[in-house]
Amino acid sequence: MKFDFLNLKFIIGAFLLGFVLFLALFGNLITPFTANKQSLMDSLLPPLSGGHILGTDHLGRDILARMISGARVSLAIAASVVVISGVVGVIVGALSGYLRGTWDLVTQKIVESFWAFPPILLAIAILAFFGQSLTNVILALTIQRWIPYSRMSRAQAMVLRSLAYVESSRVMGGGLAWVMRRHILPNLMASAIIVGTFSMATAILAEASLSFLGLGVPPQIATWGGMLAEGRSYITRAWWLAVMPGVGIFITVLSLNLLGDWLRDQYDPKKTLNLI
Amino acid sequence: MLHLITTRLLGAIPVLLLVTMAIFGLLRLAPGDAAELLLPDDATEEQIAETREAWGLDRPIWAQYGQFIGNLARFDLGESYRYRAPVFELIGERLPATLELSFYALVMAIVIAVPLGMIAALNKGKIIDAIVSVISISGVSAPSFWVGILLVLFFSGYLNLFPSSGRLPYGVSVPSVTGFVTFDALIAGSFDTFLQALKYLALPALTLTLAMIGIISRITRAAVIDAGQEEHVFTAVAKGMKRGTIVRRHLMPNAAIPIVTIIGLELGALISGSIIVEVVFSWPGIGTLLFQAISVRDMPLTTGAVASYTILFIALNLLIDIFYVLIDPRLRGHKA
Repeated sequence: MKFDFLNLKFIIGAFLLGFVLFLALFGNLITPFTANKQSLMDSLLPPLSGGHILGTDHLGRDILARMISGARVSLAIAASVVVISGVVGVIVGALSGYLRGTWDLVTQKIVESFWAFPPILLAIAILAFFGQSLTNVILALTIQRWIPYSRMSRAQAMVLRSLAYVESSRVMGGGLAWVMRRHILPNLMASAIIVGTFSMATAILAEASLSFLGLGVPPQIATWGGMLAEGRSYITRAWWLAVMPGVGIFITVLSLNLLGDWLRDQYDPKKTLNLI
Repeated sequence: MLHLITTRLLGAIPVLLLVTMAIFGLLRLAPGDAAELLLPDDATEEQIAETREAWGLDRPIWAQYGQFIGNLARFDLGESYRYRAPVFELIGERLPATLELSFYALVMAIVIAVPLGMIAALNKGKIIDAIVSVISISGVSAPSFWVGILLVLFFSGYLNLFPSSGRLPYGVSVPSVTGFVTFDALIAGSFDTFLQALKYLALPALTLTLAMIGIISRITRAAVIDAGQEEHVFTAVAKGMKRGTIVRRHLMPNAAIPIVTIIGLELGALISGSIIVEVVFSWPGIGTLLFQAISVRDMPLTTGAVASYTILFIALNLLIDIFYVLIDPRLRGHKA
C-alpha cells in the first residue's frame, strides 16, 4: 500500500489533531492557571488580557486551562468508546459472518433493535435512567457505536470464509480461534481503523452534546460541551465563553474527519473515470 | 405494490417489540425500585403501592412487560408528575412543533444539498468541487449547538433580524388545524402571523439544515459520479447527446436511490439534532419536553418521550421504504 502523504487532507488533519493532542498532553506548560481556580475579581476578561490567553469565564476561571481539561476529557472518553466498541463490534461481526447460523440470526436481531433508536436518544435515555458517571457516559456512547464495526466485519468475514486459504486452514484442522486470529481478524484491521477514525469524530460530537445537555460527566469536570452550555447565557456580553469551546470541538472533529477521508481514499481501489 | 407495503409493515412489528423491550429493560435495570423511580421523591408509601399495582410491578417480569406493552398500545404511560397531565397528551401537544421544525429543516437541506452535490460531481476535480467538499466536511464537523449559538450571536445579537427562542411572539396564537403554525396561519388567512412564524423558524431550522447539508451533498456527489460510470452513459456521451439531457435522463434517475437512502438514514440525525436544537432555541417540541423531564427526573414523561421518538423514527423509516418502491421501478412487482 503506497501512501500519498502529500495529500492536503492528511496534512491539515494531522496538523490539527497534533495540535489538539499537544494541548491535551502539555497544555499545563502554556498556562499557569488551573481549570477550576475561581477568581471573581477577574471574571469575564476578554482574550489576551490579564495573562489569560483565551480570557476568563463568569467565575474568573481561565478559559485556556478549561479548554485543556475539556480536550483531555473528550479525547479520553472518545478513545475508550472507540476501542471498546471496535473490539466488541469486530469480534461479534466477524463471528456472525464466519459462523452464520443461529449466532448470526440472534446478533442481527440485536443489531436491528439497537439501530431502531435514533442516535443519541438511547445515550440520553441511559444517562437519564442510570444517572451520570464517567462509566455510564462511556457505556451510553458505546451501546450503538459497535454496530458499524460489526456490519463491516460481518460482510467481510462472509467473503473471507469461502476463500481458498481460509477453507484449507479449516480442512487442515484449524479451530475457530486459530482461523479467526490468523486469517479473519488481521484482514479486518484496515477497515476497522477507517470506521474507527470516523467513529471517534462522532463520539467526540456526541460526548460534547451530552455534556451540553448536562448529561455528560459530572459538572465539576470542565468539558467543552459543559463550557458551551454555561457560556450560552453570556453570549451577548462575552462571546468567547461559548465560541472557544466550540472551536475546540470543531477542529478536533474536523481533523478526524479529514484523516478518515484520507485513509478511505488510500484504501479505495475504485478509480473513477471523468467523462462528464 | 400493496403486498410489498404490507410486508414492510409486518416487518416493523418485531423491531417494535425489541425496541419496547429495550425501553422496558432500561426502566427495570435502572438502579432503585421502578415504582419509586416513576414517582417524585416525596411520594407516600400509598402512592408507591398504587403505582406498583398500576404498572403490575408485583407480578412476574413477563407479565410486567405485557402490561407495559398494553399501556403503550393504549397510549397510556401514566401521568407526568411535573405537569400533572397524562404523558401522551403532553407529547401530542408538543409533537407538531417538532414535526414542523424537522419538516422545514429537511426540505431546506434537500433543496440546498442535492444541487450542491450535483454541481460538485459535474465539476469533479475543479475548484468548485473543492469548495463544496470544504463546506460538506465543515458541516459534518461542527456541533449543531455551537452553530446555533453562533447564528444567534450574529443574526439576533448583531443584526437583530431573527428571534432567538420560541415559536411565536408572546400573546400571538392561531387556531390549530394542522398543528403547523405556518400552515395554520395561512389557513386562518393571517399572512403577518405566517411571516412571524417563519422568522421564529429561521434560525433553528437553519441550524438543523446545516448539520445535514454535509452528508447529503457528499452522497449526492458520489451517487452522481457512480451513475456516470455506467455504460449507457458512455454510449450517450459517444453518440453526442447534450450534457443537460444526459444529466436529466441518465444520471438523476440512477442517483436518486442512494440519495433517498441517505436521506432516510439522515432522519436519525434529524431527530437527534432536533432534540439539541430545540433545547438551544427553546423550541416547544418533544426535545425540550424530554430535556425538562430528565432534569426533574420525571420518569413517566421521559419514558414516553423516548418511546415516541423511537416510534416516530421507525415510522419514518417505513415511509422511506415505501417511497423506494415509488421511485425504483425494479422493486415493483417483486415480492421482496
